[in-house]
Amino acid sequence: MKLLILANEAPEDFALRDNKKEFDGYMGAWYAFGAAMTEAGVHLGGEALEPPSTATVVSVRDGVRRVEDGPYPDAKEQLGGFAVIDVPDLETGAEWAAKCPAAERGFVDVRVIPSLEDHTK
Amino acid sequence: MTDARIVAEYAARESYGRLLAWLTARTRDVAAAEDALADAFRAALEHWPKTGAPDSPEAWLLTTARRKLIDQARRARTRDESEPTLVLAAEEADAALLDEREFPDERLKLLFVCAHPAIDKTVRTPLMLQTVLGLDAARIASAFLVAPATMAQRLVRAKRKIKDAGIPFETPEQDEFNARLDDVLDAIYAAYTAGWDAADGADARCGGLTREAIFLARLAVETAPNAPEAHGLVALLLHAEARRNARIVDGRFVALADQDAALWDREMIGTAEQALARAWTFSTAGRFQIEAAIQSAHAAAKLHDRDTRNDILVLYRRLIELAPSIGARVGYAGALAAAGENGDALRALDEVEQNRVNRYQAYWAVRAHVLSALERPDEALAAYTRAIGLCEDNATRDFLRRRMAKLARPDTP
Repeated sequence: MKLLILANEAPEDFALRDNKKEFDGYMGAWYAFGAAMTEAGVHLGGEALEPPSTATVVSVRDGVRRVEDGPYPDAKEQLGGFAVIDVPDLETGAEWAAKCPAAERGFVDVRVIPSLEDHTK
Repeated sequence: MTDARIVAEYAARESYGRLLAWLTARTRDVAAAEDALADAFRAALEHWPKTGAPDSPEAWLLTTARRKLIDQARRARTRDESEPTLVLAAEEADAALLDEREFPDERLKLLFVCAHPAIDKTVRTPLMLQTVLGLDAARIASAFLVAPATMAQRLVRAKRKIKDAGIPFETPEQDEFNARLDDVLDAIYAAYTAGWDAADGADARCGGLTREAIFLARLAVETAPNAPEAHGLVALLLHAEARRNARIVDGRFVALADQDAALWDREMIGTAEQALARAWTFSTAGRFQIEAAIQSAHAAAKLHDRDTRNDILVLYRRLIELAPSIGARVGYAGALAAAGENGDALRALDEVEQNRVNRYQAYWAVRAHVLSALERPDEALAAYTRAIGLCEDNATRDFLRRRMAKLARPDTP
């Protein structure tokens, strides 16, 4: 099954991106996490995201466009990256999510991507 | 008022399993017994602060829970005359027993029911944790990395199976006792390694439900004192638990070889050694006894300044004969490396099926260490990267990063 792993990072983790001393360890953990998934043959794709301060929130109400500064929602943890993985079951997905560097201080959403068969059933 | 609350909570922790086992032994209906017991605890929290705690809280809880069960049964009977859920007469006869304020410990039978071959392997440990220890489904779910709703559903299904399949509430006959007890001990061990891919000996792991596992293993020893493997399991778990404070120091992970033995719990190690000595008196080796002996040898090396590396190799070979798990094979490779046999260590690692180590952090950590000792830095680097990618906490990531840094600069401490 295909799963979307949403890495919601804590502010402390985002702050590491601007910390010269900690940057290598921070990036190293993410690089290693990606490499472990790739070597295991489960990684279908994914990206890191710029910090939430760069986010823009767009909506259209009654035909009127509205653009606001992000992020939305205004929570402590914010999306810092995502990955799509292919694993046999949700438990395996949760195991990978637990290994995501965002998991220790933030949290990781595991979402199911419906397969074509699910739709035609 | 607070006292009564404390008494109620104490009774809850200490007696939950005994009460539930007793009730289930008489109804074969785990879910109904749990409901009745939960009602009884609620009633206790309501009444005891007003009336003071009773002399025998357990008897009070049991009587109340029994009354709830009988009420339930009566209601069920009016609905369906043909299906007597409870034998009321038997229940009344048991009342005499309650007056003595003692009731038999049926928890061993409950352990056997939870680990019955008809119960799916993945739900045996959760079932034990819930019925014997009273852990809630959400806590169990987290330990096993399963969504709480999914875990709750699995537990409900398993309890229905116990009831519908009429799984007997009894201790197995002598001829199958040992095999069935192995299933019980395996399930207890799984509480210790809960949520982890596999056990890498008794180190590196301090997540899971170690204390709960120790409680269950001790219960197995209490109720089946002639089972050597039960003593072995207690010894193994206590050795691991004794090192808890030495394993993470100031937020840093410390490998067994570098641990400060002064931070070990010596009393607990003593208890572990007693349990292991008791196990050996039966002269029947088993995997938990061997694993405990390996941990005992690790402890002796530090505490008595003895070179036990060869003993450990011999023990691992025996362990692999008895139970060739991935954890045992990786542990063996680690022991070979510790003895300076890095070429053999790498061969042992190469023999492990690669599709079984995709998520097994210890394999990659040991492999990286061995490759680095063999002066194959590029491969070591790749293995370290995989090991770091499989970590679940920053303390372990940092530990491996420090080791990896030594590859580039071998002189760094």
